[in-house]
Amino acid sequence: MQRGNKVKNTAFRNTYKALFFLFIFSIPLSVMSCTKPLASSKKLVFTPPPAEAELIGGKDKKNIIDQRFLPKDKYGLVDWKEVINRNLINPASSLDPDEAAGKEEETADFVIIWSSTIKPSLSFSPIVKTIPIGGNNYKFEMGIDFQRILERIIFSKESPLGKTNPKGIDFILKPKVGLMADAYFPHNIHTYWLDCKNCHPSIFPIKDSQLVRVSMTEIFKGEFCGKCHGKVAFPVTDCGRCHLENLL
Amino acid sequence: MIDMKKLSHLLILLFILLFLTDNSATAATTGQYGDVILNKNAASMREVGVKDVLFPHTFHRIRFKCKVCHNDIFVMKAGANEINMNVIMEGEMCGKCHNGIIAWEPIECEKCHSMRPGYTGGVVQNAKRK
Repeated sequence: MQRGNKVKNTAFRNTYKALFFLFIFSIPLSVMSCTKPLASSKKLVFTPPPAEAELIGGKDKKNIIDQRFLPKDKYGLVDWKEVINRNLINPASSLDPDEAAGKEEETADFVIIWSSTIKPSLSFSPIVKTIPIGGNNYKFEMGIDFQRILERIIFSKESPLGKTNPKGIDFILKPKVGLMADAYFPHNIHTYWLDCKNCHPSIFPIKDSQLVRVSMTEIFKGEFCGKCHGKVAFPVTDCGRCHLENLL
Repeated sequence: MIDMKKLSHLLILLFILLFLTDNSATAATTGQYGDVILNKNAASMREVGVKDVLFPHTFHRIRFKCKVCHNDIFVMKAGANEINMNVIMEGEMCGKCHNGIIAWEPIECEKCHSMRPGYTGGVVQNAKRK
């Protein structure tokens, strides 16, 4: 009987020991698991079952690639620009396959400099500079008024830019601070993904009277570019992807 | 000889530790950057006994351009869309594709209702514990 009691006691002691160790070890682990950011862990990869991956995506099933094999940027996120440049995916433009096939993408023909320092002028000044960006020579027009040029592009077919599709026009945004590099806005990659209606005129108005001034503080708050960048597009902390260099 | 009691205690401890570490990393948060948590109707989801919805945005982006869904089907703002299963079954919202013709039918709850409850809605990388 006594011996049996002793065995019981040691067993109890062991369980208490185990519980104690468990308690001690579990504190840092549970804290770690609570504070761990959701999207940063490498374990968090969405893996679709192969049968579904084949089903989803309408007609062009051959061009579907698993996102794990797409090129990544410095944050480990999918680098969509690189994906498009390398022609790795072929996302559908519309749910209607006939409509999707008929659409062709425009490339940038002109660059508009959008700056508070450039004074408005009544006429177009000649092209003064070409700068290679991404293998293409972009033409820069100086001394033009952003609002007026947009008016002419959209409303006048006789103007030199009248034939140009506004989709093919890129922008350079001059920052308020002189030390910061110019922000380059490529229109064509945005029109590749988006429709005009997604941004204009709700986020970026195009009328003279409603023009907005974009600032980084508001972008960080989730306005303007921040409506997509930082949420579904690349994060706004990746400064060098917009602020390329002083282009002018 | 191996002490079986100690071994069993160790094993139990290990199992419990595994269970504890499991909670946020692997349980249901299989989200990626840009994926969206939809839990506006969390109360009714709990009533039925399903988890929050984790919408794999990146997965859809490989297959469709933004303009396909925005803004004709979905408004680009968290919480601005009134999505519920009735609407989906009628062929609106997700049901525009998830109808068995373009994509799979919305009959397997766990495929979408896969997000562990207790997080704020919106994109996964900005989600916080409630």
